[in-house]
Amino acid sequence: MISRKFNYLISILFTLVIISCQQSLVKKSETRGDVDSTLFFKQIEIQDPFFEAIQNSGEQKFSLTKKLIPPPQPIPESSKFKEIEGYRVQIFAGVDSIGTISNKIKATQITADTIYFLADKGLYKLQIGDYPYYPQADSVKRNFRQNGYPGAWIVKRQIFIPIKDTTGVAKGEQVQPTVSPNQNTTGKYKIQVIVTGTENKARQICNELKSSLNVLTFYESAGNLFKVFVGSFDDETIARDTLEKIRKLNYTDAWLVY
Amino acid sequence: MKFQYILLPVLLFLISCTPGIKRIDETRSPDIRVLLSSISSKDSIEFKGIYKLHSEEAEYEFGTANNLLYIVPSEEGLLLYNQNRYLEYRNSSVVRFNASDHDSHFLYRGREYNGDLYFLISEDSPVYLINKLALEEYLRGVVPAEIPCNDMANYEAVKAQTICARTYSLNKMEKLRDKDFDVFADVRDQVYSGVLSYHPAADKAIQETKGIILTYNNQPATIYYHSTCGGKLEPVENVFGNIIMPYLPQGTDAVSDIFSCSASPRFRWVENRTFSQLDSSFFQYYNKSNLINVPPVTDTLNLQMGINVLERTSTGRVTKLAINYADTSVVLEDSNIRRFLGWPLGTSLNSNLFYISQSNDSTLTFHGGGYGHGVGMCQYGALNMSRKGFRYYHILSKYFPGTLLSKGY
Repeated sequence: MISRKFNYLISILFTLVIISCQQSLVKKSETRGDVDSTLFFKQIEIQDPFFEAIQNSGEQKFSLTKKLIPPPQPIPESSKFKEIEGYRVQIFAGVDSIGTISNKIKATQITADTIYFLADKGLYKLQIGDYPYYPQADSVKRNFRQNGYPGAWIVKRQIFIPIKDTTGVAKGEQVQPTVSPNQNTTGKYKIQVIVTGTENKARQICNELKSSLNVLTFYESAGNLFKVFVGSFDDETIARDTLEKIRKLNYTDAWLVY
Repeated sequence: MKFQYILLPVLLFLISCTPGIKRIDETRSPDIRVLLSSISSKDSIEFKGIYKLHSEEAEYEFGTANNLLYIVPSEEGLLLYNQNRYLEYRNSSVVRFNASDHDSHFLYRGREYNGDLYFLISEDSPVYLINKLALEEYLRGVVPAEIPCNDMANYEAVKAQTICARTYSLNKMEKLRDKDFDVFADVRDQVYSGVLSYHPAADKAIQETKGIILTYNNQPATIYYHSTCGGKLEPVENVFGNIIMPYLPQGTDAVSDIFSCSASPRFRWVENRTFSQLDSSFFQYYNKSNLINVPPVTDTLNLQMGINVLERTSTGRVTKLAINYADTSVVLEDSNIRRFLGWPLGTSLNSNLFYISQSNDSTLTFHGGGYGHGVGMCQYGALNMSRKGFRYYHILSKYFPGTLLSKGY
């Protein structure tokens, strides 16, 4: 009897366990809407000024402009000096800088012109200048050769000269015209050296002749032209001698005016 | 005795009712081929760990005495050498270096990579340097580069990003099975930063979602994502052509009454472009300019440039922009608009979602929203949702409604 009751009890218990194990028989709980409901918030139309601006902009048209202005004129080179082709006298070149400096000190006792100290191609060089005309440089060269620099020679190169001073002497030193004892300004004879269209050239030639021949020179305006003269001379022989010297300086068209 | 007859079937039934023991998915993660670089001039690789080079003649071991390997591509093929080895390969060959163990990695252009590497030598293209590794391992170098992992409040977004990255990769792997490689290692696909970018939070997310992808019609879903949508998600067909993907949402992206990505630093932005900058862009893309390589002007000159917004999508993104300049008229479309307006040159404007105002005669101001194309998942939107307590499947069901989370492998 007890055994039968026990069997019933066991059977009921098993039945309860079986029912609890069968998911299909278990009543499902309600979904917990609150937990995930934030995902399904009712969408609210958001008023946003950015999207309103886009909506109002529609098809936009823009025109950009840029003004291009010509660049300012280049600043003119210094009005004080200009670069021309000229000459210097090289008196020394060596590998020893100290030796070069001592020679520079020595050279100051020989000339009052500018002494350039250069480092070029592995050598230290001393050059005297600047001279726009060869005869000036030649004169300086000879002077240095006689004063302990037998190797002095003339170097052709670009030099700077004062722009208003076309006398051709370095450092703007103004050369006063020198008059030969045999010359005067009221003589009968004078030499017309050249006729040129530019006043500067006329002035340059005057200065060149003045320094190389130590004669009185001047130029005259004749319409658009400028005539360069040497003289005048009282003595025809002296005038003709001077004419020869001038012609040797490549002014082959020079002629005697009287 | 009767009791025993009853007990036996009951026990059997009970056993059938116990929760099923989960089957362990022993399927190995598939390998992905990542193009690290196209090498056209001398380069080098440093091994950190043992790498074995199998060739027909012998098996060479690198990484013990031979850490550094120089790579010299030539017209005939490829030259590999270091202090001990000098190996020449002709075109149409593949040179494979297999990592001897999981800890072996290699250093290339300042980044360390795990897995095998091989050189693909062909006559028509530069030498390809390809990193082949398990997809799960690859994701470790991708996820931290794509989304910030430092803050655990972002964790659900990291998981969502992991599933997106895995789905994207698997999709590419299936589509490009017959090609030389599956993905680029940069923004052309997904940024892959290698070993040094590994992050514990990303590793955890990868582990917890191992093999899970998004599917649509039992196929891996095509995934798009971007940094910041600016408040409006763009329909995919407006950006990527005439393709229909019903599971990609469009329109306002908001949670309650706030735009999802409003916390993004690029949610709203303003950028100026001057006449000179636009001239430089025009020269870069159309080789015409009124300011570059032109003779100096001798008289005052007024240059003109016309910019017209021709077309916008329903969300407001500009899809056609006309430019009239230097006797040339061009109509820019879609991503070319962003490229043209990007400054410095070579970069892109944050997005096509903008309107323009004119600041002065020679300057335009772009008032914009968002960063990226605006299609698919907005990463800053996902981060925002994660911080608000949403789970990764909420995020994914918001941005890819209709897709299912499934085991990809």
